[in-house]
Amino acid sequence: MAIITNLDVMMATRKISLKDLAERVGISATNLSLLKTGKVNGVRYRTLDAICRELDCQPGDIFEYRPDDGEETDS
Amino acid sequence: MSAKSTKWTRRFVDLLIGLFVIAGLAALIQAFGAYSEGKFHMVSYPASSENIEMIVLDPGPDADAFWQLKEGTIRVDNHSWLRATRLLGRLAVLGLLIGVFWQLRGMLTRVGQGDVFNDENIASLRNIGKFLLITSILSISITFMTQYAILDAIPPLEDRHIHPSISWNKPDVENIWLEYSPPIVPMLLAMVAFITAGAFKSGKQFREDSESVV
Repeated sequence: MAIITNLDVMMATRKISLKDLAERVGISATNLSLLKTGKVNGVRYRTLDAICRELDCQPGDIFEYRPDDGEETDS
Repeated sequence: MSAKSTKWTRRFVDLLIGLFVIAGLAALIQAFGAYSEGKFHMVSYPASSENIEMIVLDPGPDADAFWQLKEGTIRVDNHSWLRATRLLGRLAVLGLLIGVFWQLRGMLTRVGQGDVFNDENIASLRNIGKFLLITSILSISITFMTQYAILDAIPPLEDRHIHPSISWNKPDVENIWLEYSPPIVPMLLAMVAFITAGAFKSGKQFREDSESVV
């Protein structure tokens, strides 16, 4: 997957635990853990909005596009 | 669908499967009976005349009870091959209908377990559609084969003309039609089954898309 999740970095920066963030965002700790490890197929705008609000960051701080090996970029 | 209603519906489907098996056995017993009586070579087919013969049952000036004579059967003898083919066709149709209910039974079991939009149910619905379509085609083919075999066996008549189901009437003769009701309902049900299979496929795609979304 070319999309990398930097949620763990942001959580460490903001010094917030997975359980606390899950409670504040309103999703289960299991689902947040899956999101953190990149094992999900999609993220709802509602969830993304709550994470950005709680971590005081932009979506780009959480997700990063990194092309896979052998995958060519447009630039 | 609740587990209880699924269970009862499955029992009802089991009952229908049982009835179709009995119908198949009855057809075989009937054929065996005809064979042992030496009547297996006879083929009877329902027909109706345009001339309705009315026989008054209470003669008198205020007669209001009649015996209406319109329908009957046409019989041809020495057509064992036709009788055997019709028997095989009937057994094949019953087998296909049992197949339809068997697929439905499997689908109901899976739906009862909460497994709705999956590949097995899509395949079951497609199979139901295919079986119903084959049943309809078989029914039409055997009927037309029977009708033309009967018409071929009947010698030319002066005052009567016997028609297949799809035919124009002739003037100055008594027109008699071999009867047949095309299997409209099975064909419509086949169409519904194919459309539902498409809907289930869309449902499966939607389920897969929405899975693992947080």
